[in-house]
Amino acid sequence: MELLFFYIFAAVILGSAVMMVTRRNMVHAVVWMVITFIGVASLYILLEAEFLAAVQILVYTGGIVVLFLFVIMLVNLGDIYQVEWLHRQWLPALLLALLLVTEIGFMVWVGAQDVPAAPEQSEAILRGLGGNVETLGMALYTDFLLPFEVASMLLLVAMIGAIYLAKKRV
Amino acid sequence: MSGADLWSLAPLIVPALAGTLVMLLGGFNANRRLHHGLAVGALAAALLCVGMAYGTAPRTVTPLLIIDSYALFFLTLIYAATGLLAMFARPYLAVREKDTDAFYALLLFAATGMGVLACSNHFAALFLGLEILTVSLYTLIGYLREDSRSLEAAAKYLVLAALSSSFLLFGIALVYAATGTLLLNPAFRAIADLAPQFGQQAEAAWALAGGIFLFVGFAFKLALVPFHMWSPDVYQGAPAPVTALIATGSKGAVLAVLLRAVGPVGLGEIGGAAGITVLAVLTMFGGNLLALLQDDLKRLLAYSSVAHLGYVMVALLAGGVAGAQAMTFYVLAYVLTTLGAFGVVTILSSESPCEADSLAAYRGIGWRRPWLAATLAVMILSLAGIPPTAGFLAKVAVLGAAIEAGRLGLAIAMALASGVAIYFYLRVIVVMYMQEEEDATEASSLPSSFANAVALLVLVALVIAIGLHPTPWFEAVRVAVATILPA
Repeated sequence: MELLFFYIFAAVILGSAVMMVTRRNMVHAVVWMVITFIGVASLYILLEAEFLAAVQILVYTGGIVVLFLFVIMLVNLGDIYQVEWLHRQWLPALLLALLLVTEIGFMVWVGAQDVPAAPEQSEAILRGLGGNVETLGMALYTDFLLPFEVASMLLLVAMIGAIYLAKKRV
Repeated sequence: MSGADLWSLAPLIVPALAGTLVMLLGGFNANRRLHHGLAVGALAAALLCVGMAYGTAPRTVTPLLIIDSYALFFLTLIYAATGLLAMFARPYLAVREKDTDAFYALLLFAATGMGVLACSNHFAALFLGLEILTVSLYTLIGYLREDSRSLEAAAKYLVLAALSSSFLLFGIALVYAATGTLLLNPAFRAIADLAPQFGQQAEAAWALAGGIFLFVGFAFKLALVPFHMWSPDVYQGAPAPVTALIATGSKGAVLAVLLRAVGPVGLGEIGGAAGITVLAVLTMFGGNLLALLQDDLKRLLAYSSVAHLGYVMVALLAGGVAGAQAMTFYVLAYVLTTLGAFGVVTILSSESPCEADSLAAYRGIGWRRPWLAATLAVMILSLAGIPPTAGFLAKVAVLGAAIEAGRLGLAIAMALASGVAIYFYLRVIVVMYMQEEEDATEASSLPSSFANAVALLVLVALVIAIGLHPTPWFEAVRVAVATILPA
């Protein structure tokens, strides 16, 4: 059953990824990217990493994609809506892609030789702690409360800086 | 986290809250004097909190932060430096009509970031502290938005600091993968244990690679040769008070966390001593030789600070308690001296909207502004390491530690490099006391603001007092270092 769903999601991811890179309209490509991201989030759920799935949806589909759309629409280069099918860098791109595929293929092939047994134990430990999201939440609000707060300050500083530099009159 | 924990953290919380408060007040009240006063007052209050935290030290607050007398020593140095900078900055910004709330808020946030660095005991705290500092610096460097040099410096710093942060982060990830801990000392000790097994165990390779990435990240932040390229451009382009912050507080904070992480284990144990020795020698000679070619005081001081970081690396390489003490003492002397030098540059740049950075602008200043020139001269002599100053004793301490550790070659290299440096330091003094040009006009003898004059006087007094009577300062350094490296 799990395997069946895995293949369905994998097909969705691969299919939408191919659609994404082949669209000539940038906005369409970004919408296909949303579907890829949702497919990846589904894979995370299959792996019982619910928190990661939620973050994937929130940050990538929610935040990053909207940012992409904003940039495409704000820059408004006109011809960006109809990009060329093959741009001039297709040869280096092809070589790099081939290199990457060989690399990943090699890793998978080597890794498949000694796949570790399914981590039953860690799953049991996680369940004992009350599940994925709960464990993460506990850690984040006890031991790591301080960096959590400090990180919010980091975002505040970035915001102040960006507003100061971009504002017309200070 | 308990109430007592919060009290120990007060030195970090006060500047952070004050920064937010300055921003909030900025929305309602355009009184510049208020923002400035609040920033300086908050840093003074933070110093008071540091004094109070000595009562509860050492205290580990969550696994991430440790408030011990070593951290408090550096917090004192950092907050005092930032407070003085905030004072120097006001006339500088006012003359450029840039005296706004955002500057003081960012300065306070940068102080918080440096404070987190000085207290961090964990890679997460280290990274967050460093990022708060650098993100504040991006804006502070580009604070004079209409000045293309300032913006250029900000853009350069943005790209390179982001790059170096990614090196640091990748290093942290590799070290975590190899050692399974993110606590600074256990992680470096584990690297030291794994290092001899290089070639037999996969973890050893990850640990070493992680260690190298970490060190490259640190080297970027500290501007060691060959990672120093950004430093002269950023020093020159940034507003003078911000340059002072980069040269003093930010270097001090990064060095504090570096020594805490590496000091107790020893660089030699980690297996990076050979590479870092080469880097230290390159840094000392590179910084000093390139400084010979500069006609711009800010660039000259940038290369000089590169060279000084090389001397600090000598102390780190010497290792042991003596090395750690020498390094801490050197940082103390270097921060006070550099602050004084940039204080004078800031005050001279506060008289007109153009930056007083070319050496030509200092021609004959010894006759027009005798007090300021004398201050700068003392600071330059201290940087050069001429006897009755703090800089001299700091160099002696580092040389002593290096010789004691049997690193004679390194000590000789340092002595030679310092010799080269005397030439360009003296050149600055000679220029200041040369015959002035025909068209020189003004003849005031006091710096524009009374508070700034007092601040400069205090710095001069400290630099000379440390040089003449170093015992209490050595004692303070000894107590601070004893908490991370028991003798």
